[in-house]
Amino acid sequence: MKLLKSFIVLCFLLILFPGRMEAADFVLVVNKKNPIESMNRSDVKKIFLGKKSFWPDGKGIDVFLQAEGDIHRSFVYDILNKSPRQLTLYWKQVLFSGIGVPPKKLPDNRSVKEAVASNPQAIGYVDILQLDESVKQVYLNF
Amino acid sequence: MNRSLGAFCTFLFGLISLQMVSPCQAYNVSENLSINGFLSFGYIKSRNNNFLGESLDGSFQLNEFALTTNYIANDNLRFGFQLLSRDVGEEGNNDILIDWAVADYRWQDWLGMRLGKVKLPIGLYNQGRDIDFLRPMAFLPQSIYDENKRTLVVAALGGSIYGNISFGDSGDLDYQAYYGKVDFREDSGQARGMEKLLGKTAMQKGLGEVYGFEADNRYVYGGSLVYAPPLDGLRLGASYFTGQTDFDFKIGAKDGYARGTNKDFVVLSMEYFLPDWKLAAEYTEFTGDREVLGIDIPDGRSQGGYVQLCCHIFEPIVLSVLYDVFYADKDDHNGSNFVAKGQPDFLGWRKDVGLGLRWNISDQWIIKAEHHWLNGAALQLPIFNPEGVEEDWSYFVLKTSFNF
Repeated sequence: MKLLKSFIVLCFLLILFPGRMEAADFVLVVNKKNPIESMNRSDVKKIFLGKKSFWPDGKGIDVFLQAEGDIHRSFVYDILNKSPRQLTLYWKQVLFSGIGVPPKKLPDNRSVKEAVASNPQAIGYVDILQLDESVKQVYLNF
Repeated sequence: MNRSLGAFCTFLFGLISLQMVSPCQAYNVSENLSINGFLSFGYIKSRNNNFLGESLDGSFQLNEFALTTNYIANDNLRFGFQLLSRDVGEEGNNDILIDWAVADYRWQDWLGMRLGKVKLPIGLYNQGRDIDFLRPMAFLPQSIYDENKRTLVVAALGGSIYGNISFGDSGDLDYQAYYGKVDFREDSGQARGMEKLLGKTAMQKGLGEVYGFEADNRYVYGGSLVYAPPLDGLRLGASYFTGQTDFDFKIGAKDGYARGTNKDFVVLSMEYFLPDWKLAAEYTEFTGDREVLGIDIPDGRSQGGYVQLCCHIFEPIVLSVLYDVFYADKDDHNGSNFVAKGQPDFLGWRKDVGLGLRWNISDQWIIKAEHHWLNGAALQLPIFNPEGVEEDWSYFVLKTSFNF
């Protein structure tokens, strides 16, 4: 019985104070031809959840996610308030319900920068330490 | 049973094959064309009552397989379809059907249109109801997502409009509205319920045997609103559905006719999630009205709802707790109308307490196990228990799913 109580208390503690990896710093990036300088957090969230699909000029937004890793984890927790698994399930619900297609997932910062640099309609996120001249940083308004 | 074992072997073969290749390489056929899919396989064992099939002896008739293809033509236009094969108790039998098939034109964020066979937005989870790895438990809460009504509410041949309306800092609203016809399967719980009622009415009137039973849905229409307020993780929803189905059959040497109307199916929904847990609650009311051999049989306005809590106990393990209740008549929670007809009062309700564990082995593969303790036999339980139903019963499910 004592063991069971300890287990229940442990479960509650794990639920209330779940372990997290230390947050990594990311920056939002778009193609250098994109005139956008800053965006609201709510708009970024809608873009990465497929609710906002068009830039102000009417062209479609091409979204790029990163594969599992600290940067992806930080972005998903901080901007979308979801766990990476919840985001995966969200997009699978969209996919298999016939109401949309998930964004492309790229393996690392370098491939996201390459994809964004070559596509004027693209948006993605990279490690702040990997930011370079090939892409344009978009500032977040909170 | 042989069919289920065959399905199981297919599942295992598919699982092994899919684990051997990288998803990125295998399934994005080209820049704009993608192929995805999912497979699930389960075992159900019940005590005191059969549930959806012959579950008292244990059954492997609990599987779903799907193959999904999407082609993005341009920024506004997408074509897609999904083939689905499922066997859930006495429904499905692993026939391969088109689950949805759409031409989806999104003009702007606030307006888009889908034409073809579209999934119906009822409650928060109906559009994804057949996707096992999305469900916290093997079945969605039955008070709202009744498996016997699935054929009527899952998808319709017609069209829908949809969009997202932004209110700036005050949140945003997703809307969908649809109209169409349903391919009404004769092995569905609802068709079987009507067939049983017909047989009973015909016998009472001495009209002879009912045969050549066919169901023909006339229309369904409805819509849903889902509001996401500024509070992260909160969704509030409301949805509406109405539909009518005609049934043709032979009775003795004559043609017979019956009609089932399912109207004003209203669902109010709330979901709140944080990265490590999710709370969902939904409430429904629903009016059924059946006309059989010229006799109007109002089924009354039913009522139901549930609360479900899912918590990550630790990273790969999710604990789910469910309380789900359904009343066949919202004005008769005690089942006295059934007693007046010489039937047990507990046909008037169904109360379900469920406890489940889900193991997320990876983003592609899950295993779940759950147990449900139930009281009451509403929601067509007598169809699967022709020799009588028990008031207290339970069932256990073990299920695994894979997706790519």
